[in-house]
Amino acid sequence: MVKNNFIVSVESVKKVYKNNNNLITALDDINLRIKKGEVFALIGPNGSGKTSLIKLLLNFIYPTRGTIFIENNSVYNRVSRKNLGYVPEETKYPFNTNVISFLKRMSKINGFESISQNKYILDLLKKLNLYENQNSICNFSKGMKKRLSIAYSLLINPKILLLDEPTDGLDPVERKVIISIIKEFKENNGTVFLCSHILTEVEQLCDRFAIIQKGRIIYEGRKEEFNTKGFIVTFINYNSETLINNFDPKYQIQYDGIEGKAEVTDENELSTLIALLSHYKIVVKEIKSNNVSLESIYVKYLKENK
Amino acid sequence: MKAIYGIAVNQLYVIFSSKYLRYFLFVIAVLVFIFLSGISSKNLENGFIISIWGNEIHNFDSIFLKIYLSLIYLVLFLIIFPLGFAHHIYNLITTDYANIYLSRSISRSDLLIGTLFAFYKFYLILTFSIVFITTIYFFIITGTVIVSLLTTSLQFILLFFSSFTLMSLFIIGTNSIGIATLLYVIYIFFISGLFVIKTSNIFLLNVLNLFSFLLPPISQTYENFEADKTINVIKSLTSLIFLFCISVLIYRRKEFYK
Repeated sequence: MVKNNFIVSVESVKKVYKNNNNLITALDDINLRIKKGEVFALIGPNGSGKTSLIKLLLNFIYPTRGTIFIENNSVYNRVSRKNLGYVPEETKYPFNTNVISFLKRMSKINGFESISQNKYILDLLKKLNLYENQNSICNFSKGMKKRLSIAYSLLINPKILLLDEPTDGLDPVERKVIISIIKEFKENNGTVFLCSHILTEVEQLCDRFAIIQKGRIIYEGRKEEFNTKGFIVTFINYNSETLINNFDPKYQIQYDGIEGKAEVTDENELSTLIALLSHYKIVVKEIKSNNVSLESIYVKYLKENK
Repeated sequence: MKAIYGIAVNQLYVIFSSKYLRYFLFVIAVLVFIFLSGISSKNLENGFIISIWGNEIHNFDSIFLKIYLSLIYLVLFLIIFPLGFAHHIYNLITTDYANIYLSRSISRSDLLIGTLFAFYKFYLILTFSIVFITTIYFFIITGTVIVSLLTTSLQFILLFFSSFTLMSLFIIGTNSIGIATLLYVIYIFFISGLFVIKTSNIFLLNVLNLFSFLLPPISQTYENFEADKTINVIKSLTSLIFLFCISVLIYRRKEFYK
């Protein structure tokens, strides 16, 4: 067994489905490591393998090759799955009961039966605006089912939350509630594995992210990479080229002999660069903002790996 | 065990809230009503009672009564009921139940065993309900408590369990209600019939005999009724245990695709 400091480790995982006589590779050579207390987002187009990876983490399906560890235990081990809370993309609840009875019953089955647990359930339901709803859960709307899934996933006090499109199809108010619950879970040192199409939501929540396409991770990044308020400065230099070569590499200068471009990440760097350019009598032609969003990173890498 | 019990209770709720159950209970109620209404209160001299069909019934040993019970039990409990509730078992191999139960401290074995126990419990409740209603009715008509009805019914219960487990195994194994139904019907009407074939080939006889201990002895039910009641019970029990274990083993390696 590989011992490491990561709460989730996915090691060289491959998953091949058999469809009639065709073999479909859903995931190929996936390596991921998630630290405790981190929100890790997996983003990618439909059919890229996001849900397959979640199902592998849950042990709903088995890898064709590779291994998955949760808290240094193989995912095959029942103990490792005790700390997983799961919010599926869609769930049917075939139980003709109200939400409080359902959650109390499921608490009991999972061995969490106590007065404090009952109080915890009521608190959860209040937070998710489900407390006063007495309808049968099998008649719940999509949004209510989603909120119930969130409540149920938190019922067993998990260390890791696996969220598959947690806010898909919800109205803005419901979405806000769910995002605040996820943030609260993270603040309490919970680890989150999030699959979502809604990139603005991922931007708000994630610490690290990976882009998956056709079953392969094509890019892994950190939240610092997006939402930057950078600038691109275009300049014209009639002086010696060696002058430009002496500039700090952090400006990532592209220079064609006369005209050049430099990148800065904030206003302070911008004013320093402009002072430097005017010092060397280099003409500033244009200053453009260079904001990087997660969407721009996502689109860029998807196009590159098409 | 707590998880299995909880799942069994949950699944029992699901069964009782199912629309199929209402249709099924209605059919049973009609059949039982026809049967009971056919019993005349007219007592014959030797203590026999008579039905409107002219059959004499006494202490549930008459051929007529056995055939009638066989019809209710075998056709409804062994064919219509397992097929009607096949989609509940089918849910087990889709993500619906996996999403609800698994990934937490509940294992696949817990889920399958809990669900099968729910169905077994349901069979017990239903069988005893019919026995109770019939016994009460006969007590009112004849003034005697007929214990043999209970012992007769008990022999069927293990057969119901084992047959339902076979249907579940087919669904879990094939991932399809359609194919599983076909296999189940083929088994009931053709394969199980092989177990009562009289052949002079000793090897074949031994093989068939072995299989009759591993698969539900449906076709033997009526035959063995007359000869040796314990054979059916033992065969039903061994086949139940065998099919139950195989189902759990297969289900533990099941993948939840959808």
